[in-house]
Amino acid sequence: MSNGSIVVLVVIGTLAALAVWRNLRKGAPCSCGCSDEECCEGCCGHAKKDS
Amino acid sequence: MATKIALAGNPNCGKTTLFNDLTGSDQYVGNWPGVTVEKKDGLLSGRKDVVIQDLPGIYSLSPYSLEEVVARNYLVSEKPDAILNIVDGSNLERNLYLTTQLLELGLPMVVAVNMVDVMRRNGDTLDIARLEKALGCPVIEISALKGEGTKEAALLAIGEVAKKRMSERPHVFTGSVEHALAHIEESLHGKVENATSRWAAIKVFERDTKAVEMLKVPTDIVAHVEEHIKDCEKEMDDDAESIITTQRYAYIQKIVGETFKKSPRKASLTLSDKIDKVVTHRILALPIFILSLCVMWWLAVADGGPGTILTDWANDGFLGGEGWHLPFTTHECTADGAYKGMEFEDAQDEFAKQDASKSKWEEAYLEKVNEGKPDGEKVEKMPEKIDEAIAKTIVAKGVFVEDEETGEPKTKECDCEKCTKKREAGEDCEGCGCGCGEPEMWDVDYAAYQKAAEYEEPDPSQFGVWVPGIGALISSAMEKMGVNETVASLVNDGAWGGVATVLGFVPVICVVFLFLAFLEDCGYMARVAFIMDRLFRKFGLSGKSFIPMIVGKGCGVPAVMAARTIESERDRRMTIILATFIPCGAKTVIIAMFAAIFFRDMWYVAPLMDVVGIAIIVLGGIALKKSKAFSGEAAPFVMELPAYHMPTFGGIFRHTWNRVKAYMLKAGMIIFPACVFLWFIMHFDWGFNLLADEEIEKSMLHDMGSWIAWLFAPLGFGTWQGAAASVSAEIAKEQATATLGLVAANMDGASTAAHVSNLFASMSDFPKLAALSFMLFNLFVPPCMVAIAVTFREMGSKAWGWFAVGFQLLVGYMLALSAYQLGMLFAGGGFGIWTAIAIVVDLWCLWMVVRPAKCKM
Amino acid sequence: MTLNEVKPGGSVKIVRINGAGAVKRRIMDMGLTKGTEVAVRKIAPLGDPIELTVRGYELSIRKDEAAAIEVV
Repeated sequence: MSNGSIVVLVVIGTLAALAVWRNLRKGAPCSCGCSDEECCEGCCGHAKKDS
Repeated sequence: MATKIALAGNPNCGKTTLFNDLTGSDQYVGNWPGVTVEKKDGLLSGRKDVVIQDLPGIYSLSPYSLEEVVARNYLVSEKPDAILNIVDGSNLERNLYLTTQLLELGLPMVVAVNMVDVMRRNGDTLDIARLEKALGCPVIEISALKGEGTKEAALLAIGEVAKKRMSERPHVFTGSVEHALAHIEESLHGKVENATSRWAAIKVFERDTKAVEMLKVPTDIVAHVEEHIKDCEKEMDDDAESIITTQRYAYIQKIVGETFKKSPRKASLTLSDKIDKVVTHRILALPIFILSLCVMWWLAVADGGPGTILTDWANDGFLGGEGWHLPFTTHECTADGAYKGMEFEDAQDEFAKQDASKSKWEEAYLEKVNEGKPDGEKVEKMPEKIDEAIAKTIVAKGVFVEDEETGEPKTKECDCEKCTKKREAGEDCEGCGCGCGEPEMWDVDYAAYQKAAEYEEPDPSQFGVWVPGIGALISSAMEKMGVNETVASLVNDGAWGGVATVLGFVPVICVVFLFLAFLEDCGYMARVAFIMDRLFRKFGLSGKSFIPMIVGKGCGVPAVMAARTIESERDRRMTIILATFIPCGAKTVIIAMFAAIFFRDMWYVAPLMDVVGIAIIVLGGIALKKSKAFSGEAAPFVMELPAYHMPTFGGIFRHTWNRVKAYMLKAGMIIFPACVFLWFIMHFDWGFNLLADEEIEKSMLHDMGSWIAWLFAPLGFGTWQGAAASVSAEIAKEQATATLGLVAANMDGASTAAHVSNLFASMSDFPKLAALSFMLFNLFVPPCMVAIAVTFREMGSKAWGWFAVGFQLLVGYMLALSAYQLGMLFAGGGFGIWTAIAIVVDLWCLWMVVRPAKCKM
Repeated sequence: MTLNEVKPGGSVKIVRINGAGAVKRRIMDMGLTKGTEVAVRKIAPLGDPIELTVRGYELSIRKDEAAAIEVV
């Protein structure tokens, strides 16, 4: 496999892993529109703001 | 230890606006009940030692609704250092009702009279000093919207904390009631905190068992006092609770009369009233509601509408596709060459013709050359040197350019005046004598071939400022890097392709969310609940249950949670089950994609999905209501109808931007890894061997999809691709679009749209029906996993969670089944076993809705 | 006469509120008390609920709930 291929594979793999890791840690991004700093609905797995 | 200031006030009094102003954070502002249920807090700007605690909007401190109980539990048990009570100046009496109750809690308090800008505009006046005296606490005028007086109000509250002195509380109650209260207070002396003793006494008098429990009032006092309470009730001919309420309002009416002067207003209606007259009109109201939905969808997905134009640009130019010209920079080709003086589109058409001529002639030439040769010796490609002798005899006949959409030869469109006029008027110009409407075909001889072979694809940069598509850039970059074809496909089709599909629909959801934000912020939503209440009562819910459904247009998760404000558990359960049938933002993407690919000429299919959602809620509700588990009295519907107001541009844009930002973030965090994973299992077999494009049937995804594909067969998309897309939708509904793009990648066609279109054509003889059925299935089965998780949580019991999921699954399946089978029947697909089953199922559903109720309603 | 019987446009005064419990409390919390003046603004397009003007603002309640309110 060419160098270029390896580069691409590594990049994609790392990005995907990062995304999954972030989801596990912070909870999935909330489609209700709040960002996780201010989310206090507790939806989508975000920590509630006053806890 | 930080100073805690609690913000308390009625719903719609501007509390959240004040909160935003004081803390500088980005919170939601809505005009209808149920937006804030949990409390939120934030730091006062510039003061790290002061915490502002926003409480749910409440009308009273009664024990009857969840928000009120949450608020008063906080105020009594957790005790903020001060209360900042916001009062709507344009609605003084009802707002002060809560104020009197808050004062009784004995905490340092400041009253901020909001909407002072509106008051001034109307010419109303408020005697602050007198009001302060009457209430016994500082009063300040503010305009939360304009930011006037807000900081001062907070500072005043902080000041009250420092003073530690409790001002003289007003004498609200009179006569025997006051007498009884004083007596109770005396008995409570030492048993409850001094500051709260007044409030405690009143709670005892009202027989508020929840409060009595919370305050730990000894039961013997309660028993002892009962006699006095009964005496009062006899004397006033009313129950204890009502006595208190009535006296409060009597007191408030008195002080408002003394301090507030309303300016004599003209009898004419305010703008808000005029709007209201139309929007809640007896006959016009429902049509107007449906019309506004249609307008929203037209803007979002109609062919030629803004949403579609932008999405097409995103999908075919900006993200996917080769690229696009900057608007206003397109011009005729200036470079010397075949295309000089032509517009880009015409140049492309010209090239298509020449290219077709070239290929067809070459085909004919090779055929001649291979005549008589055995298979092993046949020439596949054009040789370097062409045999002139043979070439001069070759004439390719009936060459044409294939029309992308129809697959048929493109038709002639002549330029003569008559035909141009007809075309502009939208008429066909067949039979006009100049050959229009007929397939454009021509013959190519050797000379024509030689000319055609010289044509190169028109270079778009010669026709205007050309911006290459991001997909094209990535693709060519990888080519330059010498990336292996399969790995390149991982990026082009998988990672970037999937994400681009989803991102391409940002314009559509932008339109939808913008619209929603406008409707929410201007106050229309409360009116819709008002209009819908009668309908909702038919199945035992109230108009209040409609509000989570509006919230659900954005996202199902807060919709399910908004059901918390419904007092009756049974009603709440029903609302949770039904709330997610309204297409959410992610489902809107599915609708947008299918509308663009299959239903471009039928713009009404999109709003139809909303209508179907509402219909399911209504009919499903009626059916559920008739079962034992949900039957019972209808919940009460007592609701304030706030005045309409013009939402600020800033507010709407901020809300919309929040949602769009979240959508894009989701694309990166969820869609992207999901597509990478899907690409992986689509290109590898179970032994983890890399597969070539043609070997896709050996892939893991193919197998997994095939295991369950038969389940979808009666619905019209019973293939591994249909199954894979539907299942992947549970991660996030918009993933279905990305997955479809992925699994259709090796179908014929030049764009994702063409791929998917051909995919459905391969799945069913009635591709549009199959597409409709696919949409219905994915829109109306259980929502994405996150929403399902929230459903389970809000239901509080696994059994109810499973019931909800089961119900939703059944509904989605039956809907898709009916649409496909009955649709096929009418489209001439014949009558089969599944058609019969679909009919039986539909009749059963009908029966569930119209049967007599098991219990009295 | 009870409140649900009042025609749109009519203005009345509350004499008594019957019933008990949460609904009655809620109605009273919103300002509908003995002696209060109430105007019936309109009836919803589907016939129910009704919109009232009370203490300077708009309130919506069902005809059933209004039936518990005696007026004159």
